[in-house]
Amino acid sequence: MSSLDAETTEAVRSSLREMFAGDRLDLPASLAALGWDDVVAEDPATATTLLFVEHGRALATSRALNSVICSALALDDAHTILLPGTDGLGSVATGDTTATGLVLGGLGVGGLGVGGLIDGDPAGRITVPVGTGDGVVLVAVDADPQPDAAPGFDPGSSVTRCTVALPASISGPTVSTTAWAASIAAAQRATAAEIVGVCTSALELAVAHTRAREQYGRPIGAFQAVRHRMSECHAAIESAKDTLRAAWVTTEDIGWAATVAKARAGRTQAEVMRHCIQVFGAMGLTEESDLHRYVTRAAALDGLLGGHLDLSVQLGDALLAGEPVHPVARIKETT
Amino acid sequence: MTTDPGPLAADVDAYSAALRPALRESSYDRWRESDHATTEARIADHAELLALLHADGWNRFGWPAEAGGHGGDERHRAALYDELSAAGLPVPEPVLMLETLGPPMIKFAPDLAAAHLPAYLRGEEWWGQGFSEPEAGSDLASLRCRARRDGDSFVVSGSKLWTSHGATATRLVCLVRTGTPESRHRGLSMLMIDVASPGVTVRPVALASGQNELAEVFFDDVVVPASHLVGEQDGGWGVAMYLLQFERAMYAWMCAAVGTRRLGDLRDALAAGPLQDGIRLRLGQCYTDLVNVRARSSRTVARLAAGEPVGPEASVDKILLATFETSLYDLARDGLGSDFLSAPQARAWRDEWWYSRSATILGGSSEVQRTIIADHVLGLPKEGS
Repeated sequence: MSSLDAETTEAVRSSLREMFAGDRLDLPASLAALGWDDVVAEDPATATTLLFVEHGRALATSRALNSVICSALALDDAHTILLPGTDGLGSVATGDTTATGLVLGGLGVGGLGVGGLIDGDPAGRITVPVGTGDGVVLVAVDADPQPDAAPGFDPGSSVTRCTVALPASISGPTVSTTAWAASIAAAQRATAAEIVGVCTSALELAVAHTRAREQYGRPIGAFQAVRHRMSECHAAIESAKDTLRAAWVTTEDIGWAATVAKARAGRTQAEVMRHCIQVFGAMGLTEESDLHRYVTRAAALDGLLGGHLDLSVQLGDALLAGEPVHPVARIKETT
Repeated sequence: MTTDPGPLAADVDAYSAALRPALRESSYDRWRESDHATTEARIADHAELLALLHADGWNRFGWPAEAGGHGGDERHRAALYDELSAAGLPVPEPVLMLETLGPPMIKFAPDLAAAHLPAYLRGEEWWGQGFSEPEAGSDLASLRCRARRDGDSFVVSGSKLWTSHGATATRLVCLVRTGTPESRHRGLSMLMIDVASPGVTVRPVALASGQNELAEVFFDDVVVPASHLVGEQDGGWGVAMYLLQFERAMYAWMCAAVGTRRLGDLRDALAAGPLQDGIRLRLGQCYTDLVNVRARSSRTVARLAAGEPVGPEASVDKILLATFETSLYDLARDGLGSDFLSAPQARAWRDEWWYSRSATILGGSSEVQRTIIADHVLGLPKEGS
């Protein structure tokens, strides 16, 4: 695995930004036009992170995350995977008669995302991962065409919560627990990158606002309390980026490292959005500013694949049960 | 170590691999889980650990041959601190100021470095950093301790306060005013001052824990040879800014390495007792904070090793470190409950809790770091403008 040099990285970033700025996003076609598979093959960490950061910055909706899991499991992209949420949502075991989780688009319900229609499995099916003693069985079930609830907090989201009935006897391709964990780790890293993107755009909006908005005869960005909130946001975003990078390069358990990265990114969005809303004053709570869209998207992404509180408790429990204090990041000859 | 240091100096992975088993040898056992009643006892004992590391060659990596080292770069030093922690050993206390003062000495005063750093690496002496004064804490550029040029000497008068290791250090690297009182950061110079010089008085300053972590130093017309100037006369601010990169980056890594060991200790203590509500979450968050500092700081160390200036972004490292240290020691205080308050075996946690409060103060307070980011990274309007 080589790594993209700074110049190539910048070129890829601007191509992606241009792509997401387009009117009607057809992500698979646009990525194919960019020769995306080759970029990923050369440097999966940088490529995936760039793609999802830009996805987040643009508040895009797509099935890209679904593709990350499919690709990790060597499944066709047309599968719509039931994803874990938070509070144990999406965790399905043998003997369960229904499964509730999150899916990206699909369901045959058009117009879920503001970014355009999202195509799911043409047959309207959902692939439910069912944990068994010796692996994870990927069970294809007919989707209930009605989602559990209309998109609520994040109306622009393509994530839908749904419940599907499971057959009495489950069958389907089985993947090892390790392979499933690796696919979830890949999805957590992608989601952490998307959160970084959402937060980066939100901070840019907030910084621009603190330069422009005047109170007491000066820009509010000249007040220490406001400046320090913005610096806090910067530090929180940087820490999510650094922890994510470590999760990509670690030589230790990648599932553990991805959990840490997702937990960190989730906490980052909570901190960043709290500060950004505050500096926008009343505008932050209304539609006068676009900030609300970033706030809700970041929250929706935090709720995918484990919220930061859930994941932190998981890590704490594992440590209390004797898991070593994994360093995750180390001093290496090449990093 | 009897083999040629060259290959290990050229490859930090090979260095770490060789170091790991060596630190598990019985000759290092007396420093595992060692406990000391006072800071003075701890620093003296740790100096002996430094001497052993030097005899075995390990702490010479990462320092140039001219300063008594085996070559290699910052990553070797960083790997040493991590491997010590992984082996249940302390990072020797004198290293704290070595990491801050060593690099600027090598860059700006190579003769002084050649003369004195080898003894530091051997554990025979350690230094203090005289920056803060009673009227110059966060506002460093307002310091008043004065050095008057007199031929081949400087004559220093004034005082320094809150000097780490000041009570036992034999040399002090001080930022002093050589320009006019109004010259702010332009009229400052860096001097190495021998504590044994006539006119130097040291008074230990105890933290609220009772430990003499700091000191106040008085200079009463102390004569310092001009050859002890670090950098140019009136060029002290530049030296200090160079130094602060290391203080913000290497120091953060060192603390993260120690913190990795201490978080393991705390986990063991918490797992042994009944758990209060909220501890599982806080332990997970504190661990995430640790990984955060490690992830950040390991990259910064690599940048320093590559000779890249770190600049204002180093303030992020400092903020992340302070966040982790505060969360670790608060978790110890809250999670250990009544043991924290009074159990004899928790004395180190009590002492370290007080010391951890300095994480948001020393080397530029959290407020200073946030202001640096606001000014130089985010480009916000100047404060009060």
